[in-house]
Amino acid sequence: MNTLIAIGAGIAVLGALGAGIGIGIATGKAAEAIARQPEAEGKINKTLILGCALAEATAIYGFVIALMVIVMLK
Amino acid sequence: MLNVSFWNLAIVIVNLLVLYIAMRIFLFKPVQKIIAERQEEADRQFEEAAESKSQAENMKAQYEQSLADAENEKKQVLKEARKSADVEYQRILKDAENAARQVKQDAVAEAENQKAQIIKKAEKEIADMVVDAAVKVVGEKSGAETDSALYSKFLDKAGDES
Amino acid sequence: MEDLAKNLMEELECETVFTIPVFGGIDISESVVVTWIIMAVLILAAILLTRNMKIDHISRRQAVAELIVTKLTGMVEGMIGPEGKTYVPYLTTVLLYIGVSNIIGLFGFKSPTKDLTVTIALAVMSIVLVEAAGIYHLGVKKWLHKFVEPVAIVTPINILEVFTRPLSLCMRLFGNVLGAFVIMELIKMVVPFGVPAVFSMYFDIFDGLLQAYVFVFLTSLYINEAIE
Repeated sequence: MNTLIAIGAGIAVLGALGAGIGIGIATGKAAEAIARQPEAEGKINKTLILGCALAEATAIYGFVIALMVIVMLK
Repeated sequence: MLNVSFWNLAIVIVNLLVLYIAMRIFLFKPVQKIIAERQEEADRQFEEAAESKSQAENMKAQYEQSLADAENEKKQVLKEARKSADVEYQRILKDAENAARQVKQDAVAEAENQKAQIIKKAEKEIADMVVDAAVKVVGEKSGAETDSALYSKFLDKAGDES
Repeated sequence: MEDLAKNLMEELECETVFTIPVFGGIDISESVVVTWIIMAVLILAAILLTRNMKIDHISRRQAVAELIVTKLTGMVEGMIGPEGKTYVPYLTTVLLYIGVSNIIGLFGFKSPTKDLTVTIALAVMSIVLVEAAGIYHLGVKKWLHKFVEPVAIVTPINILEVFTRPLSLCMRLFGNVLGAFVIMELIKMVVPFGVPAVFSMYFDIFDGLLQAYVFVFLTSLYINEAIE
């Protein structure tokens, strides 16, 4: 049983994959944008951080679910 | 961590509402009030400054106006003085001219008068002389001789006279 | 390892501090107590900072108060736009509360945002505010009509959104704080001193404030969407 729970939690954390890809794309685009328009750096940074925080939520959901799986099923 | 109780939920919500109201009363309201007041104050001061500036400008304009007025007045006075002086001068000149003319006229009249008197006198004397001569001639002789004598006598007398 | 798990669970568990003996006993959990402490701190700070304020020749205290208020309200106003000015004080309060609760862990308290109850309360308040703002600004008819926009077929999704939005808000905040806490505990376990301070800068302070910002940003976004 414990093994299954661990596997389930691990699968739930796979959601972090999406967040990683998302943040990577966002950061790449932000770098492009800053290269194109260095004067807008502050605004771009703000948007980027916000976007990262939102994209990170996916990973966080995975994490929370993994934690719930562990806590609830134990 | 994961167990959610209704009462705690309600308490947290009430807590948040209380916090919101408290923050409104103790933080946002006074600060916003003070900022609004400062804005008002700044507006007022700005207005005052604008007013005093316009006042100063008014005063300056007035001052300039009065300066210009004084200048004008000076010019006016000067002009009037010049004009009156001119008039006076003309008058004096005219007076003088008149006086001179008067004097001249007087002199001419006097001269005429004297001349007329002299002529009158001369005529009277001539007449007297003629009468004298006539009386003399009539007394001495008559006729053509007498006439010519009369004439020559008269002429002599006249030549003496003149 | 067993020890670590036990320790962690103990740290994560929000135990009941005391019980109010009414309605069959109301358990006051630790997060509520910490919330009270935060409230007391915030209110006291507000009162202290805004005491005898003047128009000119301001004290440093007043300058700080004005700076905080103008910066925070300016930030929130920038997010919500000029139409939602009514909601700025509430959103700023939430920003302050979440920000303080996220970094209060540094002072030895248990962050209230680490308790699901508090984040659920925040999310519920947010969604109630959003829907109330929609009803207030548009009227019931238009508000209801918003559910069938842009096409009627998306109505279930729109209705579902009413529940997913607060859920995502609450889970995001909770998960971030919890995740940061767990990672910090793990780091502390590996390197007892020095390094955790650096990571704490990111996980506790930066991430904590960022999550507060994100929470308020999303709420203002929803409000903005609801009232237009």
